Amino acid sequence: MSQPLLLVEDLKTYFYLPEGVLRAVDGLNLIVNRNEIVGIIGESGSGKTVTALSILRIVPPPGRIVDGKIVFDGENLLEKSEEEMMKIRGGKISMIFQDPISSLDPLYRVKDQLSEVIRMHRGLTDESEIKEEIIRLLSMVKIPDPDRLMNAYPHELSGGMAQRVMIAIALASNPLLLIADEPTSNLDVTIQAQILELLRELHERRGLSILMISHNFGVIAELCDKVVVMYCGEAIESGSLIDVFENPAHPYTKGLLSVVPKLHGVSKHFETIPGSLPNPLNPPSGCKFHPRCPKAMNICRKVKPPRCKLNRDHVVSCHLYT
Amino acid sequence: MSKTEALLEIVDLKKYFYLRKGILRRVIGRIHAVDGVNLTIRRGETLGLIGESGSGKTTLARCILRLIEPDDGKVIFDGEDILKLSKKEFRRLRRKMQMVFQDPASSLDPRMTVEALVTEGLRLHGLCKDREERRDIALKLLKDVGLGEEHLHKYPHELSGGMKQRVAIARALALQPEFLVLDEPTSALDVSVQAKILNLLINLQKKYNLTYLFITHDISVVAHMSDRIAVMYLGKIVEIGETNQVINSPYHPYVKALLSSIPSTDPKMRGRLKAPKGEPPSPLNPPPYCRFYNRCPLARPACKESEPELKEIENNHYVACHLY
Amino acid sequence: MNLISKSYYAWRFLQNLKLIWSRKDGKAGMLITAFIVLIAVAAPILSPKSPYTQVLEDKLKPPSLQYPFGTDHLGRDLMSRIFHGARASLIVGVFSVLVAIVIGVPLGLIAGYYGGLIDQVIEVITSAFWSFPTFLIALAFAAAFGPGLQNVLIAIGVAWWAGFARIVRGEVLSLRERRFIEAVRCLGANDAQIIVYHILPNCINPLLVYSILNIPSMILIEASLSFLGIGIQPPHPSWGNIIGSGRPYLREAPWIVMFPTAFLALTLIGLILLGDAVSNVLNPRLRRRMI
Repeated sequence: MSQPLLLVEDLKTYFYLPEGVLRAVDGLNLIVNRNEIVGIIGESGSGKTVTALSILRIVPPPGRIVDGKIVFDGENLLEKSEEEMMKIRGGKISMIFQDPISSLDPLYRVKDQLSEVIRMHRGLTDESEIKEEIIRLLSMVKIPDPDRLMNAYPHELSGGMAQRVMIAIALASNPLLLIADEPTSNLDVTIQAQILELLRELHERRGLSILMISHNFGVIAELCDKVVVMYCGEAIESGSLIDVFENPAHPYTKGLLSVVPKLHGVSKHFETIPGSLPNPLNPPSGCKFHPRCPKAMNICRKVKPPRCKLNRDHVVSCHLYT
Repeated sequence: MSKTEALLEIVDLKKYFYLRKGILRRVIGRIHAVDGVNLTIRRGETLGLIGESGSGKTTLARCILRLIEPDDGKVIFDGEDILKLSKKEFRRLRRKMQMVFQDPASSLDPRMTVEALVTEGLRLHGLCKDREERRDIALKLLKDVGLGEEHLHKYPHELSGGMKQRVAIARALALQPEFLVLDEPTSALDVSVQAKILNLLINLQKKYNLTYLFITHDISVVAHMSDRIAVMYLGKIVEIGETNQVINSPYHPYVKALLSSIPSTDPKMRGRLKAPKGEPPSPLNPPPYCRFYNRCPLARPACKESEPELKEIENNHYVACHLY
Repeated sequence: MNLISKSYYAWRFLQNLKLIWSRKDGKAGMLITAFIVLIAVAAPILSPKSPYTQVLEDKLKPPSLQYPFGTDHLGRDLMSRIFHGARASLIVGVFSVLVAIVIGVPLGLIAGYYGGLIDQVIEVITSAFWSFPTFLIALAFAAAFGPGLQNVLIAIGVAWWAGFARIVRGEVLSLRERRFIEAVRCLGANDAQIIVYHILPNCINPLLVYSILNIPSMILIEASLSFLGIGIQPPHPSWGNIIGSGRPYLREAPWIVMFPTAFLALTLIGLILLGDAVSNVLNPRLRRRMI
């Protein structure tokens, strides 16, 4: 088996706040292979966005990566200098964000934002070459009438168009990995479907690996080959899509899957997970899910659960499987 | 369905927003936010209202409660056209129709305690003798929504998202309304919290015989909550019927496209996702024919001739489409 | 507002005071301001003599045990005059702000809440006042209506209301569209109830900060008017008119100018430090770093 594209080992990113230490990411393990789409699913406070920021090393203070390894394309990103990281960001690793219109600089036209990336990461300087490249990129993300649209300002774009532009900017450097942080959460469901179709096509045509972060199970199921379930800063279960969605091992994953309303369900009643999300400044001891777990045992309160391998890809952090 | 069963009847409701330019504020365009909506809501039922951005569902909700004044049409609540009432007369009626808003963090005044928030309606209408009585009512309301005495003196920022929304629900119930508009009540909440709030709403509806207008873009949620579903597109209702009719056998091409755009959580259903092409046209000066024409896979020349009207296609199931 | 909110506000107030005290500028500001206020309030007790008594044989005497700050050209004890002069500054600080608030806040509220034509009209008037230097407006008012403490207070308030109106209007505009205002309207609140219960309370913080930051300038304007002779009239003492009266004697009796100047400067510094601390404490974002 070839080397994974991205290997995150025991990542710890903590925020040092006046009221205490917030362990946003607390020992995360994650693998993205080449030509693979991996999804991170979790609720708010699970640490999914901070994970993405950590990989690119753009965690805002008072946050800091305190431990772990992030190996990308064979190199440990945590050992690189800031200059080297700047080449990688928007270069080999690109990222797209949740609210596309506000993630674009409102003062610059689409073509300017694209040409900036093209100049920086592809080294092109000739104006006409750059313009050709811009049109090529905009067409690749299925923007109709790219000649006209490249002169638009972000606020003149609809949500769907802006997200396509963001994807075009992300792809301008021919990245190996695209990190997508809730790229469709703010979009209408029909536009979301278009963007998901686009991402899948880009993945299939160009072999683009994608790390997709979402709280929406449907989005993850539609796009991802592998899934990582995060709770309170840790990956409590990971595996192939089928493994996690059809044979969930961790009680939290099971609970979450039963809570999601399905379109063709029956009853006028919703399943729930008892309790509520823990305070990230003061998480429970041992297994962080134990106060809400229907299968909690004594050991769960005291000892952090080990990672148990259920089959080749399916790993779960739970005392039930030791 | 007899008239007496209808709690709320909306007749030909219209609301336009005007784009103005220049010092003299000349009108250069008209946004057809709500463009001739007819709707009846029966007492005790939950009507789900689905629509994407620009559909007009939020504007419609605000017109019903007269938070925005509609330009035309009637809103008949319990037999009375509320649009004809003066502001003072309507104030009395407001108690019967309340709203729960989308983001509880912004719908609660951050400077007020839970007790003050929940009993504000009572104070505004002068319904209580003294503070003691208000406190008792506040406690009872909190109990109804699953909160306790310890929350009375807390501030919104000290509560989680789910708790804030419970406070918002308690506030809406304080005036003992008959009709509740729920504007995306769980969209800002985590999925595990969402389930609890929805269960709470279902229980409250049974307990107090409430009528709900449930507005959302999350079709899976509305499918579970509603008795009937109406789908809006660019200011008009394109399909309305019983829930299982609309979800399982939709007729309107937009509704079909909408349903097939929802990514399934079942891994085996991967790849069945079908996105409609194009984007919704702007609600600014819409065309005088079917508004879905430019994106419709089944569009015919006849569709460009006039706007389709809502027609009953099977029992209690209406569609506005030239194909039928 | 019920009892629970009232006590919470009291607790919040004390917590804010503690936070202000914990800062260097807050501590210095509070001490200096408290000092000046104490002097002003307790002036009759603290002054060795009456500020009005003239002992002509003792005129223009340098500081000594008998006259700790020396005497002025009419033989009046300078220390007593300066202590009593603090009162003028204190009164200006409090009452001019009140005048400005009484004029500016309602105008800002109406302009922001109702918008449209009335907003445009009020905006024009506000801009007119805003663009004039406050000193000129105060000067014009004092010239038109005559000198004296009362007119000075009103003159300064009239010069300053535009800033308060602007602030209130800004708050109202940002609050007016907030969801919770819509929610309260849904409950059945009318305009007056919304303004009183929801909009005004949110204006208090910015108004408080603006007031404290502008009081130094107001005091300075009063001192300037008094210096020119159109503010507080002698024999009533004000730091401004003491400096003014000492100007001809700058060579022989520099203390007449020096002491009131020093007090004036100290007051301004104290208030500015305090204002800075208060604005940092009340600003929710900057506050986080301190707790």
